Order: sequence, then structure tokens, then C-alpha cells
Amino acid sequence: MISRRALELATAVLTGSFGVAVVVSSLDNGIGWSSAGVDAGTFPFLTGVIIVVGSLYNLVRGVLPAATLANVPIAITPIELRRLAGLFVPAAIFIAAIPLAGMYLASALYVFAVLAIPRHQSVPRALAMAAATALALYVVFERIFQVSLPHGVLAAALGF
Amino acid sequence: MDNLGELLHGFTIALTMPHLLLMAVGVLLGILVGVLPGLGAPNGVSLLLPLTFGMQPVSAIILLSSMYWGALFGGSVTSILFNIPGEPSSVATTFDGYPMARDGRPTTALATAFGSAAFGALIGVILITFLASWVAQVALAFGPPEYFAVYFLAFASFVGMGGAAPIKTVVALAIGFAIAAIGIDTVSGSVRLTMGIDELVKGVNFVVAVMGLFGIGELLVAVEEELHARAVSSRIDWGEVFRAVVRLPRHGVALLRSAAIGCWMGITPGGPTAASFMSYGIARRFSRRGRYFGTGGGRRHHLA
Repeated sequence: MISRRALELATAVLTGSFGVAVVVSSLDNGIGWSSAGVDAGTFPFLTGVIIVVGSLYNLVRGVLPAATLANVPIAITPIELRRLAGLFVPAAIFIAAIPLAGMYLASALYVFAVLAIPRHQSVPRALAMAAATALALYVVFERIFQVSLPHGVLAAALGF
Repeated sequence: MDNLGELLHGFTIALTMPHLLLMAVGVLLGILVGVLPGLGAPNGVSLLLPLTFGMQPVSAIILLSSMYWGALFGGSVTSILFNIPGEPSSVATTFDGYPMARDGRPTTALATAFGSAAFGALIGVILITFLASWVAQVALAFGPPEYFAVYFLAFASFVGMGGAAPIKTVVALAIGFAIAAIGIDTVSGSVRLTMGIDELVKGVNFVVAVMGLFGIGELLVAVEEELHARAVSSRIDWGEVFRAVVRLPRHGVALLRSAAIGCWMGITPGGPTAASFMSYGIARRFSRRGRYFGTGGGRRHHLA
């Protein structure tokens, strides 16, 4: 169970750390004026500062007991969380697998896992659909559009 | 009055059978391209440019401009039915169009979007005809400070008139700026905010950001509420189309106001995206039913 307060705080921390990353990264490019004019880091630096300050404000508002939105006790129930994870986790693994296994293998595995593991489809049908997806991607992109999708480290090791 | 004569002469050329057919083809192709996320009106026009190589110049321009309009309308179709804007200028359409479609009024939302867009286009054409030479001078006088002012106005109106907590809107805007700043700086040419990742040198593609924010976000919400197909079915009931168009004049003031904003923002090179957000913000502010905005009471249109 996740409360609205926890969500508010987590979002504020997330946006705040993004802001800090922007500030730190833009310092490398230099902020302020140089002989060439405004340095490249100035604009990102300012946006980063705005993000950090705004996130701090949101964080404080989330902590304060007076905040009305934060008093909503339950924003996400465990069942909803499980459903969300059911979509998000396989998708994240799929994306992470693309550089390693390549687009075709990764998408075939993804389709197979999503269809066969929750038993939406029988294993042979899921296998057939996975193969069809990979084949369709190959024909459409590699053959028709002549766009090379990522082949992955595995394919490179096998000599494709 | 010279301009008017020229315009009427233009109509006599445009309103011939082959040209009308070309317009129909162009608009249909345009809608097809506009519906695809990421292929906005300019991309669509450049994609279909080869089609026009064998044509007369006049026919080619007619085809391309019909395409452009078709693509603009096509962008609103996905905004309303799927909550995924096909291109930047139809982002504002998702705010009301999608809730309306979800309430079972997709036809009304589509007809209103198209009707008001047609109205805006008409006003724009009339205005441009009479003011073309004057307008050109104003547009040429636009420099960096004016660009900044126009965009600042658009963003400020967004913060002031958005429904969410203003500070959250500011943070979201600043995150957007920071993401847009990733890659090669157009002024100095130095690479910034890439954290050493080569793929980020080219920056973050607008389409990628929109698909993630609107598309994936919408999917996750749908899964959370265990609704399967959230894409609203859209059987078109012609009676409803007619009723929506008839109802348009009732929003006359909003239409005229939005047309004025659209023309102004179209003359000033702020572009259609800023114009559509501005119209939305202003309509929201002036509407007595303001608090229903974003839940499906609205109307807007695009113009550039």
C-alpha cells in the first residue's frame, strides 16, 4: 500500500535529484559569461536550480501535515501495484535486454514471456506469436525500410 | 483591395474539378500522416514532396497545402481518441478532447475540434489576405527578444492557468527545458548534459518524450484501473456531427478570442504549439465554466 504522501515525497526527491544532476553536469560547461558570450551551461544551470528549489518546496509541502492532497491515505493499493508491475517490469527487462540480445531476440522473448507466463495463451501459440513478431520486425524494418535495428552483443559474437 | 482581387482570381483557379479532387486526396493523405505519432504536418509534407515532381506548380501547391491541413487535423484525431498527440500543436487538444471521448462523446469532440479548426483557418485566410504586406513587416522585425517574450508569455500563461499546483507546473516546465537542453548547444556548439553517454549527443527526440509521457503513462493508468481497451471506439453518428457544428456558434466568443490569439501567434513566429496552449489557457480563464475544463467541457482550435 502506498499513500499519497509517500508518492508526493518520492516524486519531489526524484525531481530534486534530477535537478541536482542537471546543476552538477552543467557546471562542466561553465556558467556565466566568457569571451565567447554566454557559456553553454548557463541555461541548464538555471533550469536545474529552478527544479531543485521547486522540488524542495514540494518536499516541504508533502511533509507538512496541513497539505490536503498528502492526507489521501491510499493512492495505490497492492493489487493495483501488482498490475502496474506486471506491465512495467517485463517492459523494463525488455528494454534492458535489447543492447545485449538484440531487438529481434529480445522482442521474441518479451512476447513469449508476456503471453505464456500469465497463461493467456498456450505455450505453442505463444512461441508462434513470438516468432511471428520477430520475423515481422525483421521484414518490415531490415528489408522494406532498410533500417537496421540493434542486433546486440550476442549477434555480434555469433558473427552477424 | 488588390489583395482581394488576387484572392478571388486564386479561387477561380483552385475551384476546378481536378484541383478539388487533388484537395480531397491531399487532405486524406494528410490525415493518414497526421494520425501517425511523430509524423507531423511538416514531415508529412516533405515525405509527399516527391509525389508532386511531375505536377504543375499550382496543382503541387494545392496538394501540399491540403496535406498540411489534413495532417494538422489528423493530429487531433489521436489526441482525442488515444490521448497521444500526433504532433506538438495538438498536445492542448488532449486536455479536453480525450476526457470528452472517454465520456462517450468522441464524435462531439472530433466534430468540435474540426469545426473550430476550420473556423480558425477561415479567419486566418481572411486576415492574411487583407494584412499580408503589413504582417510580413512585423514578422521580419522579430528578433531574439521578441521570441523570448512570446514564449515567456505562453509558458507563464501555462503556469498561471494550469489546473495543478503552480510550483509543480514550474518544476515540470524546468525539467522539460533541461531535457531539451541535452545534446549540442546550438549557440556554442559544446556538448552538454550528456553524462558521457554518446546516444544523448543528438538530444532527446520530441516523439520519444511524447510517447513515453503520454503513451506509456496512459497505458500504465489503464492497467492500474484494469480497463482493457482505453482507446475509445469512434462510430461516427452524423447527427451528432451536425449537432456539434450547430452548437459551435454558442461558443462564439471563445472561438473569436482563440482565432485572434491564433492569428497573432501565427503572425509572430511563435508557432502553432504556443498558440494552442495560449488559447486553451485564456479560454479556461474567461470561461464561467472554468472549473469543468480538463474534464471535458472545452473547445479550442489551431491556427498558424
